[in-house]
Amino acid sequence: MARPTAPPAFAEVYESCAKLVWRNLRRLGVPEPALEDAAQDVFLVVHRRLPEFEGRSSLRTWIFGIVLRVAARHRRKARGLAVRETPIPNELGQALSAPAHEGPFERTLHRQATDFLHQVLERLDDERRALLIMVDLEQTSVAEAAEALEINLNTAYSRLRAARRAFEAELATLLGEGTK
Amino acid sequence: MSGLERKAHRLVELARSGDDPSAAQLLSLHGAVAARIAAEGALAASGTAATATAKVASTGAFVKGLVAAAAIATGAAGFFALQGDGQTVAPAPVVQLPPVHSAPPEAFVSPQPDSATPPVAAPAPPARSVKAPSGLRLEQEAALLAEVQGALRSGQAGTALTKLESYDRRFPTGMLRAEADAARVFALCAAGRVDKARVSATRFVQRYPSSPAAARVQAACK
Repeated sequence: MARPTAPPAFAEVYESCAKLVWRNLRRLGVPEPALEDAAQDVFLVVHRRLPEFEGRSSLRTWIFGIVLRVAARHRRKARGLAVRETPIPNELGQALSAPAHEGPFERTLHRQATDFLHQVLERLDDERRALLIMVDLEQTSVAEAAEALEINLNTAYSRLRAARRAFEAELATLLGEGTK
Repeated sequence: MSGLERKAHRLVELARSGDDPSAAQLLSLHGAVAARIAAEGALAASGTAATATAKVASTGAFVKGLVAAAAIATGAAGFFALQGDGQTVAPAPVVQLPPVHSAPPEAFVSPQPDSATPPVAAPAPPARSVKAPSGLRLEQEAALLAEVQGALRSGQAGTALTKLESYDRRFPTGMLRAEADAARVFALCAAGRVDKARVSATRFVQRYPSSPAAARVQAACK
């Protein structure tokens, strides 16, 4: 049995974080075909560095830091594969305007929303994108996000506000509701 | 909240679960990570394949479990495809497995007598059954679902349902929960319990609206 202070076992980390790693690499702009490679890279780093994990930050925060760096590397490699901007599908446009009622036939809508979200995120700078992903999509605390990004808490709060405004502005542009 | 803020909020809500990996992707990643960790170990030991294996073993149950999981993965990856069109996919001969203890399968709690399905004498032998008594949960989940798949393939819906009950008990928060829920719909259909299957299908689509299997699940009893 592991001592209470020992780093968690790799298997445990892998199991609790595999989905987290995968979906956030995607949101951070790693293109679909490169996702598995990128996720492998993350876990190789985790495997190598787990003995150094001291529990000073939460595991999730620590993993997020690694995900951010690996995603940046894969984004650079995949520059040619940038997200293609496509006009918003009507169905999604309506769903964003009217209160969404969850129904069994909304699968397409979720797919469309996810693709569209990638387009909006793609237009943001790296730090803003990362902040929004952590706080609004993953619902981590701002403190955790600040730690993963190595910025102080107050800075994180003000940048998060700016990131949300930027997100809305890019959304408006893509919706053709330009707020100039 | 401005209109725009509200739209941004809705977009985020609609897209939140859309980037989760599928079971096939998860299992494929699993195998690949195992292989790369093993390769690193081998490099460090700078030895032959034999020492590499030894190194793998010393990395503990994880890699061993992963390699076993990789063997199952190919089967599990075809899971939905199989369910969808009833086509039989030959079990893939894969990865050379390191010795895995062939422990007896966990005793499933005695099958509940099922009104619609006749009791089945023996569970369908899964094509290439890998039983690991310990190790990764994902590996165990995949093994159990491979058995479910085997049972469905050989038309033993009752066995499949019993195994799925066992899955629910053992892995209430399993990583392959969506796959198990989908399999249940197919098993209920196969057992002729159409009403129950429809209820489960509706619940499935509500719970996993962005699942690639949603359409097939919905069409399961048709």
